[in-house]
Amino acid sequence: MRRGAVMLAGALFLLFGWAATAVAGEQPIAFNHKAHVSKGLDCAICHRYVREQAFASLPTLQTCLMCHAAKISQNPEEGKIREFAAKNEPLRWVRLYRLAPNAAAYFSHRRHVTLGKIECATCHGPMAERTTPPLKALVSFSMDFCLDCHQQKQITTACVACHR
Amino acid sequence: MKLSRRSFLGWSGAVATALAAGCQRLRTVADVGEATYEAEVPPQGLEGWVASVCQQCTGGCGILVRTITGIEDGKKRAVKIEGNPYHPISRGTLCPKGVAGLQALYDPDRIKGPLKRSGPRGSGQWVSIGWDEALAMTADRLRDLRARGDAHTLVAIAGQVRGLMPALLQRFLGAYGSPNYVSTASGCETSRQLMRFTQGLDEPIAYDLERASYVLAFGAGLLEAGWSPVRQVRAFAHLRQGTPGRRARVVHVDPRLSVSAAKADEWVPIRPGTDGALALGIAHVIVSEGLYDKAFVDERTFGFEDWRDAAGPARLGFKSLVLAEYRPEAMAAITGVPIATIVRVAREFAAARPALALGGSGASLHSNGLYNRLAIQALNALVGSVEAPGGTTAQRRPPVAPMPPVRRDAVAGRGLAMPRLDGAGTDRAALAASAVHVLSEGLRTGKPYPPGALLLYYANPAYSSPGFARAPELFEQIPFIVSFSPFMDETTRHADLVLPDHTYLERWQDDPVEAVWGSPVLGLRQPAVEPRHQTRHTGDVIIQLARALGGAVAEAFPWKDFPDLLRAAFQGVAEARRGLIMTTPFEEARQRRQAEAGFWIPSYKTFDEFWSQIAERGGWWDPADLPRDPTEAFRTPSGKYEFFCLGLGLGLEHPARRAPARRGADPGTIPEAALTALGVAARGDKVFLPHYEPPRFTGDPKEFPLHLITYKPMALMGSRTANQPWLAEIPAGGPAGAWEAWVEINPETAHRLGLHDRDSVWVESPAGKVRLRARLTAGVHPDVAAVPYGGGHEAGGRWAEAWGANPNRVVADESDRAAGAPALMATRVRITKV
Repeated sequence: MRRGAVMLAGALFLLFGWAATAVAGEQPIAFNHKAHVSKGLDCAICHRYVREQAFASLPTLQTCLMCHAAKISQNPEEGKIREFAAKNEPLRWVRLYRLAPNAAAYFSHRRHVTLGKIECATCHGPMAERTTPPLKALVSFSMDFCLDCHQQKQITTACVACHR
Repeated sequence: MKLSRRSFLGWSGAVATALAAGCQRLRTVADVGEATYEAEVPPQGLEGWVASVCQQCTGGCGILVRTITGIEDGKKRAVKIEGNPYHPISRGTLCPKGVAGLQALYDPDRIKGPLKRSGPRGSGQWVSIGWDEALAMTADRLRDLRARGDAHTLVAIAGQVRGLMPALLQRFLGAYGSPNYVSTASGCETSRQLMRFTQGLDEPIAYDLERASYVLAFGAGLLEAGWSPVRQVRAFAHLRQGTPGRRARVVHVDPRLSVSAAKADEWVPIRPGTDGALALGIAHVIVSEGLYDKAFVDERTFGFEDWRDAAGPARLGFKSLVLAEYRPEAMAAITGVPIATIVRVAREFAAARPALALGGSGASLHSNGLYNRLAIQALNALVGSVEAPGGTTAQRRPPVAPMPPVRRDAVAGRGLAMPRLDGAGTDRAALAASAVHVLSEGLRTGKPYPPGALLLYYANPAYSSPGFARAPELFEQIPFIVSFSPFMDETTRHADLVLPDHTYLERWQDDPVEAVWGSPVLGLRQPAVEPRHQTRHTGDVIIQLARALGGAVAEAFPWKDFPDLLRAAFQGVAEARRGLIMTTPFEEARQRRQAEAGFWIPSYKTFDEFWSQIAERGGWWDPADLPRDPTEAFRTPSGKYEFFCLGLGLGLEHPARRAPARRGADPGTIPEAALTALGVAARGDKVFLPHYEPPRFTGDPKEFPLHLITYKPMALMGSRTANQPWLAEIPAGGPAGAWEAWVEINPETAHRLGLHDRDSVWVESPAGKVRLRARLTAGVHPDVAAVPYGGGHEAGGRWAEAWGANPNRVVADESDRAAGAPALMATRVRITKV
């Protein structure tokens, strides 16, 4: 019985806990956020649709090529951008920040960033300080995480507002 | 202490002297009342209103002049100027210059009749003579010149004027036999060439500002001086608050925080001369992210993709060039504008439709002016804002009746075949029609030939053109100088004869507006009062001079006088059967509906009725003449908007040949030698495309670390308004006060140079130096020193001479040799404490 409980717990953990601890493989390029932020690039330059759409988007190869079509730094990682371009391969980033898929929760970046005026770092953590890509999300998204803020700021906490 | 009488007298003497010296300026200011109608206290009388057109600047605003006609003496006096509510540009409003126009009429320092020089040139010694004598003297000299075979040595320098008067003066020179009509409006050359090469049109560019959703202005004084200040200010108000629920976004790119930049949503400080680089960086983002209007680019433009010419080799397209060479990171390094700003503005510009990019003097008046403007216009082409609502279009001209053709006699034929004195069309000013900045060079060297006589009309090059401002003694090279100016300005001082014109409030004239939103507008300027002095309309004078010369020259001027010519010209408009005489907005809307349905219902039956209606209401225009059919709008060799300017090569390689290339012509390549002579750094196909030409500046950066830029506040227009104290009293909306000239310096820069606010400083360039008061403001790029233009007159009247310094004294001779425009913003300076 106890072993079964442990197995059940283990299974449940795998099932539900998976979402909270996303495991990431290596990113295609060891992107240095800090170096880019220090050049004055704000988040919306590469995560283009953060102010206009639900999904903020991850940068496409085209976006990187706007500056890196020629060599502009000493970092060997930079050359990978041009290799991808030469091979006509898209950049396949590993997505770290996800909501639990079975939560069926709808999240809109536009609402939170443009209307709610929330800073990116509030939910995504100090990504701007990172010099290498993190292996997992810097902030884990649990429903409590969302509700805390919603309650504090007196935004709707009705179920159907997010669980559509 | 006992005050003895002696010490009392001594003290009061000292105090009085000090007061007198210190009060010189105060007294000048107190004299202001003399220059207005207050000097002529209007008696009891009948009020009237005269519709006319202002001429204090190039704006072309319709005005109503309120007059009082004395009951006892029957004399009409002008007492107030307001905007004409029927006129589409001013719509009843006016800028401060318009209202101050009375001070031109009542200027106590005006020239009151013809003058003949009685002492050495420039000594200010004149004797009054009658008109008959003055005209006879002039006609005799001109007749002699012609008889000696030197007709081509007659030079006319004319300023910012349009319509029949410059046409008449040009006609006179053509019939007489001189190719040397030189316009000082060389800053507008670049705009003209922009339209010539991208659209194949000979008309100025016009902006449909009122309907834009996003305005990206490069170095443009939208809310200050500009091509039509009142219209621009009204357009700005409309696009911000004119339509409920819609507020356009305005982004202003400029090295200084001008009034326009301060009222915009965003000010983008930029290094002088690099506007083209910024535009190309923005174009890169728009192209690489696929944000451009594909339908417009595919169907209505040529040269976006790489292409093959008839001979076979591949030619470069704008897309490849922009993607390969103008990455935002590289452009950020050149312009000083952050990468994030370039990318964000590009995305905003492309997303807001219609978006409008416009370039002003800050972009044009550099050695790379033409290419800066081509790059900026390319942005409009990318988003489909060319010949579309809310975009750019060509300013159409009103259908005035053309003058009959001139029959040229043999003398004229020979004279017109001679080369021009101002180098227009040579590799000093390849594409220009006029190059006053090169004329001063020609006078210095006596090449290609020395001038024989000079006519000055509405121009004051000794103030406004740096080459002449620095060396007014150049006028000594010209044996006979006649000025038509009503004011004793810096250049008129050097004349031998003055044949003073009326001020604009005293004369008849046409005013076809130069650049509004595309629809032709023709105002009528008519005398509000009888001429106050013994002045004469220069149009009449030219006709009379031509008559006196006789022969073919006289035949070219069949009109009795200028008003006769004016009526003949307006006949064309009456007979064109379109448009409407200026009227209420309701009537306009009704007429527009009719025009859309294909009707035109005239409000007049005869020309006399037409004329009296026009005189009552101020002019004619055609609101239904909207953006054109593409077949009319693009008359380039390709029949489309050209990114790859096929005609440019012909102009640059063979400057004297100004005809546009035939349809489908092969642009060829331009020889290296021609490009080097023109100072164009690009080679190959880039020369035909918008690209970044590094700007040239005069002055070693180590010795002269700052860039000098000059700007025009709205209240000051150079020489026309020089002696109007109401205008000098208006501060420029910036850091300083009235009645003084200043230089704006960034506080960090000032700190490094050991300067404090209000210090007296020397602003020195390799060309000269001028003394100004330093004003510290964060609203200017740290590498820039900004000086307003309009003060510092040495002649022109007691108020003109009372204040300021003329920055043209230190502006060097750099120019855009391809466009043929002076690079007035290309001088480097250093600033030191006095």
